[in-house]
This record gives sequence, C-alpha cells and structure tokens, in this order.
Amino acid sequence: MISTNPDIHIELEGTPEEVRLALETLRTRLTERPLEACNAGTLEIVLAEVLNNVVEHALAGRSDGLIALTGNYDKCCWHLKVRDNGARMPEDQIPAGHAPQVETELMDLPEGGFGWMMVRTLACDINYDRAADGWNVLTFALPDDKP
Amino acid sequence: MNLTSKTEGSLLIVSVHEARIDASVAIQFKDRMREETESATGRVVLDLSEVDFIDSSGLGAIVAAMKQLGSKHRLDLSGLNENVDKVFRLTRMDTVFAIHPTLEVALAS
Repeated sequence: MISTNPDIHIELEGTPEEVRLALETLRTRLTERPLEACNAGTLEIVLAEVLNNVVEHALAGRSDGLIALTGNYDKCCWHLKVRDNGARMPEDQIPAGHAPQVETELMDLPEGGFGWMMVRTLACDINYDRAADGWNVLTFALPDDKP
Repeated sequence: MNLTSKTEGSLLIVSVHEARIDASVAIQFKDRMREETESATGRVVLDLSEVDFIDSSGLGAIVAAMKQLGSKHRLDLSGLNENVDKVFRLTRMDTVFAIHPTLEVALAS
C-alpha cells in the first residue's frame, strides 16, 4: 500500500514565532518546487490569518498548544487542513468575519478584526469540526481561479 | 525590528528593513515607529519596499502607527509588493492611506 505524501505537512507549537517559521518554511518549499503558479501568495495570507487566529484565540493563555498543518495541491486547487489542540470555536461556529468599518475618523480606525473576513474572502469550502479526540479541525480550499 | 528614517525638507521617510511585519513583531513595529516619528514635523512616508509579507496584525500595527502620529501628520505608504498590496485592498485600508508605487513617486507628490 503506497500512501501519497501530502505536499505540505508542518507541525508547530502555538506561538507567533512558530507561525512565522512555519510560513517561511512553506514559502521556501513552494519556491523549491514547480508550484510557483499555484497562488503561493494568497496561500500565505490565508494560512497566516488561520494560524494567528488559532494562536490568539483557541490557544490563548496556553503553553502546550500544538498545531498541525497539512495541504496538497491538486487540479489547480489547494486543499488545506489545520488541526489544533486548543479551545473549541465559540458555539462551534466559524466566526462570521464581517468587514470592519474603515470609513471612520482617524482615531476610530480598526486595528484588528480582519482575519476571518480575509479568510472568507480568499478561501472556499470552509468547514470546522471538533474532532472526537478533542482537537479542532478546520478545512478549506483555495482554487487558483478565485481572485 | 530594523527601521531607519531620514528627512527630506519637511518630509520624514521611514524605511522598514525587514522581510515581514507580522503578529510576532507587530508590537515592536509600533514602538519603533513611535521612536522614529517623534521628530516628525510634516508628512511621513513609510517605505515598505523591502517588506515581502504582512498579516492583519502587521496591518493593524501600521494603522496604530498612523493613529499615534495624530491628525497633524499624514502617513503615506510606498513600495508595496503584490501581496502586501493585496492585504490593503482586501481590508479596504487602501482607501485610508495614500499609497505610492515607489518612494520616488511619494517624494514627488
């Protein structure tokens, strides 16, 4: 039985520094391989937001947080899975990701709250599950033709 | 967080010598921006031409940097690569900042 290696498999601890390292590793791997045309920039933006959300919310206040990222590229589309051992999503729902209002006075401009809006804009088929082993599982796709 | 600044007349140019402005450095970026822009007397241009990648925390830190400058000093941006520009467009922050393709264009405007 031959099992195909996923194109991406990265495990990291749930800290901002490890997220940066994971994204740098991913970028190096994508430029080493003939995957240049596969939306690497958008992939990095979406993964940064997803991983930062895990670190800042699911794993907030934890020092034993773990994240496992797997992904493969098939038929002009990335299929990603991000698992973590943190707290479940509020009400087991992916946040709505409404766009923060930017037509405001200078001092009222938003400095955050963009993450899920960016993920929802760039990714599709986003699905969240709380697995039986107590890990969060988020899956999503990034087709090349989505702007 | 390596930032340098220089003045051109009443203009202050702050250059970011980092490949990434992300969640792991957002607070340092904001603090370094405060130090570099303390002496600003007019418009400030933040040159991002060496920056490969920003996430929403990095974007938030740039917004925070503009707020701490106050309403007396404009903060313009220059030298955004395609991915950095995409983050500004997605969040509609491209409507908040004046964004120049290069530092030279920013200086001439």
